[in-house]
Amino acid sequence: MAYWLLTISAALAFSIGYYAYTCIKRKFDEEYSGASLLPKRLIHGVVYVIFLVLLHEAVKLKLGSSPLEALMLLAVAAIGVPLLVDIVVTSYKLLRGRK
Amino acid sequence: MTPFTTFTLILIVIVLLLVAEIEHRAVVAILAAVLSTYFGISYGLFKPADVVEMMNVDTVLFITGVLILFESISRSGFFDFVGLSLARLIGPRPRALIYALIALTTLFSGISSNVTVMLVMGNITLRLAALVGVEAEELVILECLQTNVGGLLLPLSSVPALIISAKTGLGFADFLRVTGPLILLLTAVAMLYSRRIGSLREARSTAWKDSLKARAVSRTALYRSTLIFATFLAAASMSDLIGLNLTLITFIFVTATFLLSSLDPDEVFRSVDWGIPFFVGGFFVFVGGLERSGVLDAVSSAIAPLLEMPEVLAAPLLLLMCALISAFIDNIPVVLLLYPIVKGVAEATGLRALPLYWAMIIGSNLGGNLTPFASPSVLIGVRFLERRGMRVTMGEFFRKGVPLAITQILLSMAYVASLTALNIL
Repeated sequence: MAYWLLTISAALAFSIGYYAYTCIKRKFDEEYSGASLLPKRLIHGVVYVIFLVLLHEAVKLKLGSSPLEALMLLAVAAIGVPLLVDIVVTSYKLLRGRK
Repeated sequence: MTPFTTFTLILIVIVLLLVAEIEHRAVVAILAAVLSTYFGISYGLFKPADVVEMMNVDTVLFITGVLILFESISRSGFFDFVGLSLARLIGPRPRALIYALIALTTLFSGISSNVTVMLVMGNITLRLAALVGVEAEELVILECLQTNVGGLLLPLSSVPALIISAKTGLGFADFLRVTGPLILLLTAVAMLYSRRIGSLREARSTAWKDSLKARAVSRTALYRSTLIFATFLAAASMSDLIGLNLTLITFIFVTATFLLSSLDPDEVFRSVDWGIPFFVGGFFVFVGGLERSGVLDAVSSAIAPLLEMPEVLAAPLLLLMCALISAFIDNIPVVLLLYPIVKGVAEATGLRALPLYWAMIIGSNLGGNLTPFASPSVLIGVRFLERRGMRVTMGEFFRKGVPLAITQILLSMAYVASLTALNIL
């Protein structure tokens, strides 16, 4: 029972995290698709990653170390890892554009 | 994470958001305040009750009151009335008219919001310039720059001046003594610079007279608002003698304006830029959090070696630094962040703080003239021209406005250095 509960919670945390990422990605694509807007996309990406770090810290301050923290980390990673990929791709495009 | 790391991350986020102008600055300040409050209380750096004290409610209310008074004087039609009356007095003489418009823009920005003045003066300038054959575009750009020069006139002329005067107790007399001569100097330079504006010709007197018909305003509202505003300036300049707090004086006159001027309070409230008090209040909380987490001390320690030099050099250098930063970021957060840092540096290095504060006020105001997007009045002026079919490209702005802006900043640096050397600051 506990095993199933953990699996469902983990899947839920990942789904919520990934859904949040797709929303952010859609917003970025709408606002920063032009080449001249790539630096803004990069800055916004970095801002969101720092937000995630702060979010994790905020939850940890309230809950302390608990099983919920692991789920929180999973959700944060589901948003953060693709965001980091987005930052790397944007940086690459920016550098390539300058050459 | 330690409180220091968390608040450093918050500082990075806020600076990035302000530099990239991704969100409205008031939203950024509220976000900064919310994050600072949550983490500050969670780490035990301060208690919920301390947040009100950190917000500097008195300063925020003072700024709000001044904005309401500025809006009411503008709504009364005062600027239109004075501008057109002066034009009538001067007659269709292009050169004299250019000088008068530059001087009026500077003076009006000293007693009202720069954005409002820019819009009013922009309209008057376009009307008159077409008649006397003056190239309006370049003149409006000069007026944009002069709004930031006028922001040095009084403690209430610009938000940076308001913040630093509220923190340090610099009064009306101090401003008139220190920045008054500088404004005269910078305005004279702007007038000389305006001689490059070409295509001048005499206007036909009939067309000239027709153009000077002001829009219909209530004369009662105009006279009463002007009288109340003039009395407010006199009372505010003598607040120490009267023995009343500046915020209280401001709100006495806000009440008097609404009771006596026959202006519609709803219209005035609708037009006030509410983003400014929210921004300042939010940022005060944020700066309080940075102070208590030790981030500002660390920044002060890092900057202190840069300013470890005689005041005569440190003050102009700080002016230049403020100007360069304000060319890219709104000058309000620049001043809010730099004030405690500069205070810390002055305490650590033994430098006199006052020349540094003046350098911050002057640099943060004039820095907005270096780019067409940093200062709200310049931005509004450029958009105002664009809406009337006169597109001002970045290159044009750099060609027509920036040489004057750089000259004014260099002159201000020399001025601050001289006053510091003479022990006047």
